[in-house]
Amino acid sequence: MGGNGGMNGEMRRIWAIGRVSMLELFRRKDMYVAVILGVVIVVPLASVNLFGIEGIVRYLREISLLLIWLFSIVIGISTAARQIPAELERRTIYPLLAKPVARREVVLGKFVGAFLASGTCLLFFYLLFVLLSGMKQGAWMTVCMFQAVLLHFLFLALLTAMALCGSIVLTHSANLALSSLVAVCMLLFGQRLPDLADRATLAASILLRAIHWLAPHFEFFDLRLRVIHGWDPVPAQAVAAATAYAAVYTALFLVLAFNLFRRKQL
Amino acid sequence: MKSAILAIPLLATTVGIGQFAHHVPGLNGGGCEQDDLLGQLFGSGRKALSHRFVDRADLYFHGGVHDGHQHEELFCDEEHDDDDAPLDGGAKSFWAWLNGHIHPSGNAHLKGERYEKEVIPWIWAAIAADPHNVDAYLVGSYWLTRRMHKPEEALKLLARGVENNSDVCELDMARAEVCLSLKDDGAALDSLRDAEAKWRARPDAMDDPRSREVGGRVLVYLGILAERAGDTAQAAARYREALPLIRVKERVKRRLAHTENALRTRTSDGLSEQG
Repeated sequence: MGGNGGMNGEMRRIWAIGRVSMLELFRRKDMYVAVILGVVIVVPLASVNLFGIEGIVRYLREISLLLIWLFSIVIGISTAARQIPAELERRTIYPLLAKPVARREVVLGKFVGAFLASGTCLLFFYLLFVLLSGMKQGAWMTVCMFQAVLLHFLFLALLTAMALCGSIVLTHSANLALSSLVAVCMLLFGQRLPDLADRATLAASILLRAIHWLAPHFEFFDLRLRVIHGWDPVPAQAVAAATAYAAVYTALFLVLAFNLFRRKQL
Repeated sequence: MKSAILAIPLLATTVGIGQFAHHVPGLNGGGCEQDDLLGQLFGSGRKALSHRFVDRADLYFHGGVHDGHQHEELFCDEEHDDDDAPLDGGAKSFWAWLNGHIHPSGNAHLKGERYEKEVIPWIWAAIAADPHNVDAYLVGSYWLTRRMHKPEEALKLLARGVENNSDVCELDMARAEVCLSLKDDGAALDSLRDAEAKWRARPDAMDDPRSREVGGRVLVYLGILAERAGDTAQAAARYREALPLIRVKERVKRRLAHTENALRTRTSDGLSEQG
């Protein structure tokens, strides 16, 4: 256990790689564009005169949360997907690997960086959302809202791990397209996959069932309906189950990414 | 979520262009030019979008969850039993169990003015997307009058509806209903006369069941106003004409019997006075 060895040293190296990735996002100004776009859409809608009736909030919550989800998907995937390809393209991966840094640490560091960078954006979006919701209706941070934010962070961890893994085997554009497709399709149809499989032909049914059992169910982390319409919070055991699910799938993607990166010819 | 993803940019663009068109000299007033501008940009997609927004209002009325009930609850006072569906769905596998807990299900209605007003933005959006969506005006008028207790706003909305759909008698009839709720018989009579003229001008006035029903209701309202004005003969004539057109005949039959009785009594009184 020298200066570069041990758990502490490994964590320091992972954090150092992650921090660089995080700073890169703030330099790229993706977040500011997303915030400006969100404000441009939400503020005029919030100021519309709806037959002189005051205090209507659910439509604003729905639009704001939809934008938060869309932006988090775009920022999460694009940030994670460019981490390793950008290093390869700029050839900065060689001096990085020449240092006493294991490939596993590079993958983990890139994941931490991508997750923290997009997570910071997400936190900022939710702060704006809570502010808007609070000012419009006086309802600030509810239990359901807290659960929604927590599950959204888990979603982001899973999404960035998947995109990072994809970035090692796929081209950049293919990875962006495929990751977005998987995330959006699972959010839209994940819950209905068994029903769709029941109604499909044999081949399609087998395919849909395989997707149902194997693909990451991103819809488990979407609590928007509950927040928008003021439904009761999710039971604690369901939140725990979703957390465990996210942890298992994130770990699987990271292990896969590490193995792929270890075998990659540089 | 799928519809929302499609709806948001379209709504934002529609609203943006609508606001823009409102500020352009010559387009101000929300008349035909503005309508043409939106029509050229979106074409028939606007109609579909507008109907989606009305559906969304219905979805909001049910707390964001489709429960499989297909009746037009958004447009009636009756409510069905709220306790007939399990809240967590049928949990089979881990996936189904988790989905059952994460995504709300079951049958819930917005209750109370504080929550019911949440459907209003979607009705507003439906009209903004397609000013010719008559159902959106009718649902909006019902909602503003009965649920929000804002009949003046309903009248303004219907006036816009009539301006954009000058040949639709349903809007005049809805306006008359709001006027009747405000006890403004004069304005109600004017609207009913307009509605009657438009209905009679329809080629399918007597063939289409919906059109027959609307015509029947207009005639019944005209009968009621004639009765209030003391013109029993005209009231009876209106009820008689309405009777074959209307689906639920009991009330009209009772009103007709009542007015005919009054007419008979008056005739016999007149004869006895002459005698």
